[in-house]
Amino acid sequence: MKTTKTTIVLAALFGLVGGMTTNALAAQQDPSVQADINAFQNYFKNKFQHLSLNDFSKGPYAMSEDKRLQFDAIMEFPPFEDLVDKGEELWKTPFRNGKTYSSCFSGSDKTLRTAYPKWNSAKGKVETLEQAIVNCRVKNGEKKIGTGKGKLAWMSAYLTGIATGEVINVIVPKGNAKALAAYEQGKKEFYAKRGQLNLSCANCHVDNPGQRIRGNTLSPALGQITHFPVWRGKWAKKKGDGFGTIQRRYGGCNKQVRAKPRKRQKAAYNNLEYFHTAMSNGMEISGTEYRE
Amino acid sequence: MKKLLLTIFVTLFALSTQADLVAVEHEHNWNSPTGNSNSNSGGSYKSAVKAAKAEQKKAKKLGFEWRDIGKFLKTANKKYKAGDVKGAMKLVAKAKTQAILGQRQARDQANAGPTRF
Ligand code: HEC
Repeated sequence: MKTTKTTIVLAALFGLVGGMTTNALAAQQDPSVQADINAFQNYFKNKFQHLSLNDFSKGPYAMSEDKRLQFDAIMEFPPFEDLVDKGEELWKTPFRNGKTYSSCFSGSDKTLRTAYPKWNSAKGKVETLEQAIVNCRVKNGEKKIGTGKGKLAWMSAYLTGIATGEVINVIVPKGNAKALAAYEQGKKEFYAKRGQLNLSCANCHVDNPGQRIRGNTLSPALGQITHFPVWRGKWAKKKGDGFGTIQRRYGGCNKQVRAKPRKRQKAAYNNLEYFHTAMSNGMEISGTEYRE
Repeated sequence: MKKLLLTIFVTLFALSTQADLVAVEHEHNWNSPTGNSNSNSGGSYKSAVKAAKAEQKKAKKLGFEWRDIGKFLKTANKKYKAGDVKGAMKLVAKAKTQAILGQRQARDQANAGPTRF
């Protein structure tokens, strides 16, 4: 009798969980977004036929053999490992109420990185992984922390590290007009020329990858997000410890064209990150990496 | 060669914005001061700043504010306080021009999208 009861309860539970997963899986990619992804990726595959899809994650270092050798040499002894360890420690340290960061998320920590930015239906907006971490702190009675660098970047880097090899799958749910509008806004942010130099993200990272500009080799937009937060030599020299989130990088690129950077974790950059990340769907997370 | 092309392309854009800049500066007559400290330059400086800030606000609202506008206005204030009214007015005009160009850019880019595929 007792066993039957347990079986029934278990069956019910499984039914529930099963139902939940199928529901989650049922959130299908909007077909217009999938068409954008295909066109975007095909453009780069045709332009650089010797590169495999995952090669694009190496950015400027995928553009020349010399650069790639330099990169590989640095990555043999990554200058940022201690900070990623600190990130892990922070992530695993319970809040004062005893709960952990993981308690705010469903599914394994290992795959968190791949699903963000995510459409949050309850809030009616795009949520980035960095913002979700801050929200988790606030929900558990802890202070907000900055989203450009420092502690949050280290935790985020830890999550990127454990997601190495997991496949990016950002979804703009089919039939969700609001989510699609946010995606379209992000797409426009990517293609619109800005600043005194009148250049769009695409002018540099779609039209001219592999070209040199002021001593830098331009990376292709495909695969630009597989390894963020990155540790940059430039950021380590400036102030802070070298780590920065993707939105910190957006700010830097805006400034290069003499446009005023947007506020981090607000709609403009979040929607840009939604579009920009979705374009690399199907690529593997490559782990935290070094950049110049 | 390709590097050269990119350089030319960037330069052309820079030039075209410069050209726009001149055009807008000519469109606008901001009651240029003589640089003489006993003219009523205080009033015209303040109203010029106010006008520039109003344009800056519009550009910001559209999400197309250019990077250096705030810096121009700040430096202008320093110059003004140091008695360099002419230099200050020049920077305020530049700030205003860039704010107007940012708004124009927002209009031009309203339907931006992919061009390669
Ligand atoms: C004037 C050209 C230019 C424009 C415009 C530009 N960038 Fe960049 N971007 C660079 C350069 C140079 C670098 C450093 C080398 C590289 O990785 O491409 C860079 C780096 C990046 C990186 C880091 C890639 C990595 O692997 O570390 C990202 C992400 C990025 N840009 C995104 C953007 C986005 C999004 C926009 C539009 C908001 C943008 N960029 C606009 C020039 C530009």
